[in-house]
Amino acid sequence: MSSKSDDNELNKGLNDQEFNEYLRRESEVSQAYRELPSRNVPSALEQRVLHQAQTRTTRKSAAPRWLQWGAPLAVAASALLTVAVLLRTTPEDTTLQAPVTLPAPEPPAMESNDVPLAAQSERSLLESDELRDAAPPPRLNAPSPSGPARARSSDTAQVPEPASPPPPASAPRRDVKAESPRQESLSRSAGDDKAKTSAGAAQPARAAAEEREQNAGGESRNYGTANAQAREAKRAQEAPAAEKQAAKPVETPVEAATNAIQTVTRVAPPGPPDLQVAADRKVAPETLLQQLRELRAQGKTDEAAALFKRLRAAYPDFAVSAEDVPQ
Amino acid sequence: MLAVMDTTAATPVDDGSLMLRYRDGDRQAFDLLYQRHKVALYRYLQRMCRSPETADDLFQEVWSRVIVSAERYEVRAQFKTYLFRIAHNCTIDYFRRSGRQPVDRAHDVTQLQDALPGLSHEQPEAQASELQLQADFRQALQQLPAEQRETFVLYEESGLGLEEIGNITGVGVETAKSRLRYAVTKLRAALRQHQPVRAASSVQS
Repeated sequence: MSSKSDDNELNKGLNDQEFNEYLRRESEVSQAYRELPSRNVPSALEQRVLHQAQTRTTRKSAAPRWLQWGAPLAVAASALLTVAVLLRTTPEDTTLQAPVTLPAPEPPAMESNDVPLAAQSERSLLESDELRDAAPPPRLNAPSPSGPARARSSDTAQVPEPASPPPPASAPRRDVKAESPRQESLSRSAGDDKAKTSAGAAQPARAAAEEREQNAGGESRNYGTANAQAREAKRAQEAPAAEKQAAKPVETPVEAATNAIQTVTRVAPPGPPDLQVAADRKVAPETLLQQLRELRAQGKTDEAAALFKRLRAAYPDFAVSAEDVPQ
Repeated sequence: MLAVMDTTAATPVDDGSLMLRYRDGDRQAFDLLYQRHKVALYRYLQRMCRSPETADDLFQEVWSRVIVSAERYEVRAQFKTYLFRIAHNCTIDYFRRSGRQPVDRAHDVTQLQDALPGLSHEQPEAQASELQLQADFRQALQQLPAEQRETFVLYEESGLGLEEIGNITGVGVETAKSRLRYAVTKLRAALRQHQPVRAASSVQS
């Protein structure tokens, strides 16, 4: 109680005007405070503080500048990698089923030529009979010039690669291996391309293709001739379409290839054939071929033909001799 | 010096910018900050502590915290508010650790006489009264409650307003104002005791 009364007396002793005067730092209290003696900061203490500040800046500048960007760079690189992987895998998924689910008929203009893609493109562009005649005899089980890359592309049927350089003159032009569906599509589109160059020329082109097929002989008839029946059945359906396409403007080979891939992707029927192909891929092609020979030996030609189709679907680039191709 | 001056307007760079420069590695910016605030901070710590050694230790600790926390510094308030809040926290921590109250012993007149420069022996009575005045004022200051003394010293040394002082000490503006008013009233009362002597000495001079 007494302290409260003291406080009241104190507050009474300092009115608002005096307090405001103090707040403006004009009172005698402020003056008396400033006159109080005070020590200066010892120099040793100053040196310690400044040295500590210097140490911190030295340590900061000693750190490599790139380390400051390490974390952001790592995040950016991870994001870029993720996007790249996603972009690379997504288109493959859409076209993955395309090559194995198609019946894969060959166009009439190209059906007798089982050559690598590059050579085929060259031939489809040049259509040089002399080159064909000068080519060495077909080699069974000859390795593909492009090797694994070709097999991979045939398995996945990705977007068509840019035209690879033509093989050297000594390179085997007639590979007995069957073309991949993608290549078949390219060949078909190339054939279509040729057919479109002259309106209404679909029938003569088909006839010329048949003639070439006959000239090529039995040794070169493997996959294309194996599907001859299927092609014949399809020709009747495709004839109006071919004639219809012949009226369209001429496409460049690249456009034709792109359209072919799009067509393949669009019409690829998903479902049980894929399962069959997947199952067949678990079996070695040699085993399937052996089964095929046994079926033929037993006279079961229909079953042999069906098995051959499965073999071709599962291993489109597996080399099969002409003897094993069902008639 | 160029590093801490605005080249376009040739005006001193504010404390916040200096601290940001120091955060980015500019040592000169810290030097200028230190020169600007070392006296006020050191006087504040001297008024709050029992011994000069304690004030020295706290002075170094405050600047050490400023240096260490420079990496995370952001301009949210005046640098002075930031600096004296660190000083306030260091003082509170120190007295908590030591288990003592931040009450200083009043120095005797002899100590004050040794510290005062420029005192001559020509007017011994006036000098004695002046020294006595300072001793009484100092004693009155040290006898203030810690909160009032801190508020008063902060107001005098930092030049901050009552709102900032309230932020530093963790109270509202009105509380800070009340504490300051109490402190000023008591100190003024201590001065009033010496007013007749001061008036006489001024007449003599």
